[in-house]
Amino acid sequence: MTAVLLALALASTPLSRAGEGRGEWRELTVQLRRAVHLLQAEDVPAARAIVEPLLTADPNTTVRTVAGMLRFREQRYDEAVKLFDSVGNDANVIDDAQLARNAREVTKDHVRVEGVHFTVSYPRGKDEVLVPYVLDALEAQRTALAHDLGWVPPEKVTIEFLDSPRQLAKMSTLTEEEIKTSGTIALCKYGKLMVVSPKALVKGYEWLDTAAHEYVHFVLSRRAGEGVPIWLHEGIAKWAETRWRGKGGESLSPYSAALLKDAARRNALIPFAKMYPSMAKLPSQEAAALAFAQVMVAVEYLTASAGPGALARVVEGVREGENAEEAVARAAGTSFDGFLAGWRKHIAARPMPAGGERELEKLRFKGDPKHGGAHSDLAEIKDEQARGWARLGEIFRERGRMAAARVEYEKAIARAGGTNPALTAKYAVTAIATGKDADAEKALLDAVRGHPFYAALHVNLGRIHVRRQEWPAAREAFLLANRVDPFDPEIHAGLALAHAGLGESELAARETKLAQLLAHGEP
Amino acid sequence: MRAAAARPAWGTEPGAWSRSRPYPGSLMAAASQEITRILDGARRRQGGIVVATALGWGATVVLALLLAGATWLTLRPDAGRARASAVGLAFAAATAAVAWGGLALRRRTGPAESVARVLGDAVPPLRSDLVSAVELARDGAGFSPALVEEHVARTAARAAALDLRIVVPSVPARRAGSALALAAFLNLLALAAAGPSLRQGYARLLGLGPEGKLAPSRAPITGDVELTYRYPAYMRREPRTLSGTGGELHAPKGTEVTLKTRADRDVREAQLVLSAPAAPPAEGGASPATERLVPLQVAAARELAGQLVVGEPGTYRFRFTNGKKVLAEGPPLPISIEPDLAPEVRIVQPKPELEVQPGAKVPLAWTASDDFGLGTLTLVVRRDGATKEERAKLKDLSGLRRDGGTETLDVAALRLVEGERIQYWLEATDEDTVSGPKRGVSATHVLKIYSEAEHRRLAVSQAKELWEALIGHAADRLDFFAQGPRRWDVPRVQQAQGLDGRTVALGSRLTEGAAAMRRDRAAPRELAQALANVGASVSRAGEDVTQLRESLARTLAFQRGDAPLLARLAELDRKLDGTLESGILYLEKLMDQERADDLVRLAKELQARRRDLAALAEKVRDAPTAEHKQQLLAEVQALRRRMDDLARRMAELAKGMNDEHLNTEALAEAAKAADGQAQLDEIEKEIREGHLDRALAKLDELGARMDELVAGMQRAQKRPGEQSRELARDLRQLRDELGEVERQQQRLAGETGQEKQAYQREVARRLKDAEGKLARLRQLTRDAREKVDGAQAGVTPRAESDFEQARDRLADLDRALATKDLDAAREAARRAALPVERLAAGLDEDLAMLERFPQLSGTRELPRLRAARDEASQAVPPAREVRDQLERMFPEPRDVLPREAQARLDQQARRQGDLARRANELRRRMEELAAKAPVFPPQAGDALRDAEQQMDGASGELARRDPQRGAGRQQQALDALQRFRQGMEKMAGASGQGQGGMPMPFAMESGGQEEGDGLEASPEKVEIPGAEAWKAPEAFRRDLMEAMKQGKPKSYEDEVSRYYRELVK
Repeated sequence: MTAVLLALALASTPLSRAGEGRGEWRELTVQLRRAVHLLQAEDVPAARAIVEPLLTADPNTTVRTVAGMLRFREQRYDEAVKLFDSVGNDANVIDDAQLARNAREVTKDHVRVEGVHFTVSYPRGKDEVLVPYVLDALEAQRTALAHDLGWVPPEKVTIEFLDSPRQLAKMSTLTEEEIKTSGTIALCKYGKLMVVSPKALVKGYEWLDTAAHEYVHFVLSRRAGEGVPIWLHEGIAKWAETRWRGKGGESLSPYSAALLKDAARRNALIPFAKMYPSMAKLPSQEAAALAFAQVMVAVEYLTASAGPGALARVVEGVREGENAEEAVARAAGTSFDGFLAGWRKHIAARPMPAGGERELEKLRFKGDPKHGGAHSDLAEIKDEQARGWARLGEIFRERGRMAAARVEYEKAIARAGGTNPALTAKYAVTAIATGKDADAEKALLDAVRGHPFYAALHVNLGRIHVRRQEWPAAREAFLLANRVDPFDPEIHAGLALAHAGLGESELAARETKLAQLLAHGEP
Repeated sequence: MRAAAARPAWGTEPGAWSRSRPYPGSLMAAASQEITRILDGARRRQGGIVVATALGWGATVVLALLLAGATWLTLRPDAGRARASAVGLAFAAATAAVAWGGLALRRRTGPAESVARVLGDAVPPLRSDLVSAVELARDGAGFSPALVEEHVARTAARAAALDLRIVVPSVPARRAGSALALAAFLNLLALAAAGPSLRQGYARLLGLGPEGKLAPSRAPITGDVELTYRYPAYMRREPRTLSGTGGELHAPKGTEVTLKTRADRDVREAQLVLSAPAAPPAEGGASPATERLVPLQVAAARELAGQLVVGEPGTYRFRFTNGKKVLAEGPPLPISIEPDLAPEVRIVQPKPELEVQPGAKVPLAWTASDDFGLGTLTLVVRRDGATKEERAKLKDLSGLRRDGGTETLDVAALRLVEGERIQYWLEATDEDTVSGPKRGVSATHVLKIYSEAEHRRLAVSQAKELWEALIGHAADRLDFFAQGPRRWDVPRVQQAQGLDGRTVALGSRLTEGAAAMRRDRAAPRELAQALANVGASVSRAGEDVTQLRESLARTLAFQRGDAPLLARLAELDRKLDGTLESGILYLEKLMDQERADDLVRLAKELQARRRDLAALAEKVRDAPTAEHKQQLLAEVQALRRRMDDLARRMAELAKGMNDEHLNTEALAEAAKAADGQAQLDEIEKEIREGHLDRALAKLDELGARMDELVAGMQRAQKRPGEQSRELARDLRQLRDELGEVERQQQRLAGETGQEKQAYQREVARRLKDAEGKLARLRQLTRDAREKVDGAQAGVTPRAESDFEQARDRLADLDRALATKDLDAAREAARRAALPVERLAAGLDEDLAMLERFPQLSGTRELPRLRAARDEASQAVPPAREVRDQLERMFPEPRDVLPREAQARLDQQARRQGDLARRANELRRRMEELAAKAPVFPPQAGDALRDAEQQMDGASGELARRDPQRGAGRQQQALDALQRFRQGMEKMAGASGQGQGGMPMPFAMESGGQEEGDGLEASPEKVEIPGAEAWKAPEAFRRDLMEAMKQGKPKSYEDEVSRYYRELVK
């Protein structure tokens, strides 16, 4: 769309330049088109190399328009807006003009922190808590991707944390509805990573994996341009999103696994073509979860069947102009159909995480009435008798009757089978409060197996470890919680204790500061 | 400068000595005189200084005290003590100064030696010489005269060199003078600055002020005064003449007074001097009196007469003059005002706070009174939040001193809406034309428009309190039992018993709360019923647990508690917990639903208000007046307040409700629709600017928004969850199946009824034949009664009960035979024969025992007992014969019914058994449902159990081929089924009959749960009964008394016992 609009803009320019040499004009047009193409392929450094000299030498309206696009991708929003404004109304037909204005508005109070290879831009205040973790994770991801893909972009990449899905919608061409429906929480576009802060969600989300996921997209775009189809882009990104903390392909949730298996059994897998143009355009969070599971397992199958270097080979193939399916087939040593057949068999044979009968843990955005109120966690318990007991537990807990609440939660868990992490977490709170740490731990460990990304479970485990002064385990539990819901001050207070217990005084001091920031609004 | 003057001018400076002159030679007397002269000079100077110092300081202190006292009296003119204190202190200060001066003079100006010492103190090097010179000069015996002379001469020479101005400094006197000057200056300054008020204070202090000044004593110059009062017309009082008075005037303001008196001398001119205090001074100073002169007519040199009109209180005095010269003046005579009090008005009815319907006409009973005459009666109304009051003249009271009556407050005319409040009161004025009408005000009453919504909310909040109590108790129990599996021992049982007691008390509290709620017609019935059900269930479960726990407590006294008992107890505890839990959840659902309903109602009310507003706007457009416009604007404001109220409630609801019971998304949409303030602003603006067409168009837009709001609120009410739906479905199914059982039972009862009729026809036929035997049967009955009566004298205590029964039942039998009711007679004969037989046997046993042990009785007792035994024994055969004959009159059904009929009865018995089993099944299902939610009171199960038992009984009777008894039992089963069905139907009605309706609590029509509903009286006219109407008809009373003697029918025994138990409670 941008390209089309830009072409129109460029086409209109000669009228105003009737007196100049056509050859010179043709050359300028070619250069600008090239710059626009590079910008769309997220290759900002190359585009900069073209645009900067033109802007110095001949800052005509067209050059200023393209320069505005460049500045927008360099996160120099003020300059971008000035450049677009200087062009006049013609620039308004370009999405980037409005996006630049929106980005300037959204990020006007942002704080920027520079890392080695990354810059973090975040809303002033509590989001400071994200900075050290995201910098560490992205650096680790960069190292891992350099290993897996054989290349990472040399330039510094900016990650912008946004307050809400609404801001993400303003900063992109997605609508808020699309974002909430599909559960899209982050984007890699316009030369940067845009991530909705976990504070916008009732229970947080796997924000570090998400940042790492988006960085994979960035690397793929920079390396292979637009030739990588969406399914492969997402597949590699999904598979590699856990590389910063371990092996690839670890992010398949029990629910997604069950969804995938079921879809494969019913021959209801989503065709790769339907994933175009974006996973965010899929009709529901369930469909998105299935699509992600499909493509992740596809990449998993590729790496498993063709060895660890397969990904690099595929990306290089695409970069060199090879069709992605052919590149995959070549890397897999079979035809693409053969690859798909092998993939389906792999789905059927793959051991899946337990607990797949559970429901998708949908992202719940704060302040969105569609996403339920205070008790909606427990409303998801299917068994009404168990839900009744859980509700009784809530009633008692709200009144400080911990022992009574524990009894009711126990009954609910006994009936519903501990499938609801919120229920288990609440039970754990009451059990810990009444001195039943061992019972709480057992229930929590059971629940964590099915819900590894439910922060409250880890927080409660952390509490138990802190009480027992089991510092390594406590640190691990709180870090797991932090990966999902870093805005809980208890996590950082717990981490401070754990680090102190382990003699990591600097980290302990940092976590103390973060805990105070979250608890009191200032360190 | 001061330092130089103070510098010592003696011995320390050699120069001083060099300036001294040596005394010439030998003339000791001359030296002595010189010393004396010096000392005299010092004495005089010293005396002057002391006196000046004493006077100076004394006067300073006096002036300071006087200033303080005057200031005090200026500020507090009435402070009598201030004057005494200030003057006293000043006097004391002056005295002290004088005393000090005297003492100082004595010390410093006494004998030469003293003066020499004082002088010596000022010049230490000279002190010893000077004192010794004075002493030696006076009596130098024992010393060398030459030496003495030399010493005196040298000392005189040295003393002569002294400068007394330095040696006896005047500093103290100067200081005292300065202080005095300062004090005087301060006084003058204060007088100048504070002005007349301080001067008055001074005057008061010194006894010169108005208060301090004693009125000059004046002797009367007139004789007795005759006063004639002519009162203001509005008082309607007759003129009054008082003779022989001292002249003191006491009359209402505006009264014209004529005075007549006689002067004590001949006079040519006389006048009255009226003094009235002027307006009060601004700062508490004395109010200067204003004087007015009223000339008097003088007749016969001494007769004086004049008139004045009473205005202000004050004094007057007689004055004789000659031209401008005052010849004599009498003492002041008081003029006091007789007060005209404000009217008193009182609202007798209604009570100070009243709640009424919007269209009510409230009768206002009032009384008013005034000391002279009432003017008007006005009703004043102030609306909540309004700044202005609305007044309506109710009545012209035409000068009556006392009046009362009843006026009507038309609430409809005030256009109040539900929940709105007004304050109102009555005002009565008098007719005072002199000072202007005075106003009397009644106490303020409050009138509130009945708001069903508010009552409902109140009921819900009361229910919530009970709900919280339920939660608290459930938590206490869970806490107790959550302590782990512990062995029951005595302390633990005692703790548990404490909880059990609270459980039962809680059940009662819930039941009472439900009853109180029922008394409010606006309270949600289903909530009250649910509370009653929960209360009854908790009570019952609590009682069961209490009973068993008591058994456990008794058991623990001698053993550790047996396993079955503990298992049963655990089961009952679990059941009780389940009852509490289901009660908590069910009540929460009902309360949440009620709150959501409340919002829907509020939204609908807004809708209606908007419609009213639009209608009013149209009216104003067609006939625009300023009043209508104001009314319209007031309505807009009212709508705005209601919308605010709704928005607030919606926010509260969103926070406080269980998600399961509320669609938060729909509520959020509805909240958006409820925010119509901007539209209201626009509407208000258009109305103010007179653009009513535009306002109407915007009102239409607001109407569309209101429709959205109502729809949103309705969507926000979530349908019940799966469990509730399931429960509702099961309840409907139970109701349908019960209906089916009832229908089948009815059909079966109809069939049995036919068999019964056939049997009864046969019996009737036989009884007709047997009627001829009735006379004999009555005779036999009378014989038996006589014999029993004859035994009375010898009846032993042990046989007394049988005797009573035998006598009563034979009487029943006699009555039944008299009325030819053979069926009743058969029953009575059966019941009578037994006690007669027991009486005879009992007396026989007692007789045998006494015969064996004669020492146990007196000599006369044995024959009496024997006679009684004989009589009783003789009663047995006729009683038996009557019974047997009557039994024979009623044939066994199997003897009279044809074989086919008996086969049908067999079949009916089987079907009846099947129905009993189905009833049993339904009862168990009902109990299962009751465990899920307290939709049933425990009595509901009793009704079904009763039906089941009657069915079983009917089945047995039919199996015995007794259609008569079988039909009776069937009828009772049907009654119980109908009772239960009606409760179910009511419950279904409350649930809305829909497929997804919330299951509402079951209400038993009978069984003690339904109480007075507390609704308002029916508007239907009723006949007021006469004074004798309470008496029952004589015949009815007689029947009732007779019936009471007959004992209760067996089938009513339980009910009667229950009645008495309830009564005793």
